[in-house]
Amino acid sequence: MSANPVQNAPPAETMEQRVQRLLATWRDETAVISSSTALVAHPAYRELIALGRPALPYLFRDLEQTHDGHLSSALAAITGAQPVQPGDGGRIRLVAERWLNWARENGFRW
Amino acid sequence: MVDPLVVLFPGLLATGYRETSPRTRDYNCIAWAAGDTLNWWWPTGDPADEPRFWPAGAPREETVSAFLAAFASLGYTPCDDAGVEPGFEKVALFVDARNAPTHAARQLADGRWTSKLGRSEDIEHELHALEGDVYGRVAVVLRRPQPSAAEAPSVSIV
Repeated sequence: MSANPVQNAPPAETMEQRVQRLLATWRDETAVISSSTALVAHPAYRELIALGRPALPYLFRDLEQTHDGHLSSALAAITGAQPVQPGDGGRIRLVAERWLNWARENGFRW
Repeated sequence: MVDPLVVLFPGLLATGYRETSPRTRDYNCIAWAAGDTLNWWWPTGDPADEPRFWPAGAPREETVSAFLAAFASLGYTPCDDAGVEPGFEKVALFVDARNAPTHAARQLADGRWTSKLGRSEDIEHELHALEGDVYGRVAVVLRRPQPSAAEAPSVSIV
């Protein structure tokens, strides 16, 4: 008897799983890279941006857990906002805090 | 088990290395070489985002001259060799095949070097052990007189 292709197909990746997978790939493949240009040009990072607003709750959850302010470019690209003050861009944890405050003020839940 | 750092930097296998800090995303190799553990230094990034820290007056471009200008703001000038010179601190700048800066390391008193590896650990290593596919080659060595506490040019952090 042939297997049912639908039943045997892997379950579709949820948005949360996709965000987590892309974040893991991006972090793994850029772990020793210092270039901010290279960090935001990585294909997994660009794919995160392409996910758009549905990805935001999962990105904010990750941000809260990791304080990884290197996500700021993705968040700026998706939201069009820029809560980071001029001159604060080098302070990675502060960048993360600014984005989390912005998210709370704008009604995001994660 | 294969050491992932040795996979990325095979030169570490022969010369050895020592981890000297846990991983952190707060600062990078350029900041570490400059003596700053509060900021991530890089001249360029996403134009739509707030830029990372870069010394005022140094060009915001991914070129050797821009990095020389950044370290010049701390008193560093190019020098001819990477050996220990009493009374001087040294920084080495790595570039890739396009001559774009990729990494910086700072010399320790015993002649070994200390590097922050992107968002990963700080390590102590031999200078050329990090040369290869990831960071390219050492292009420039810089030095400055070892500053006393009162004389050290401070990092200008806004």
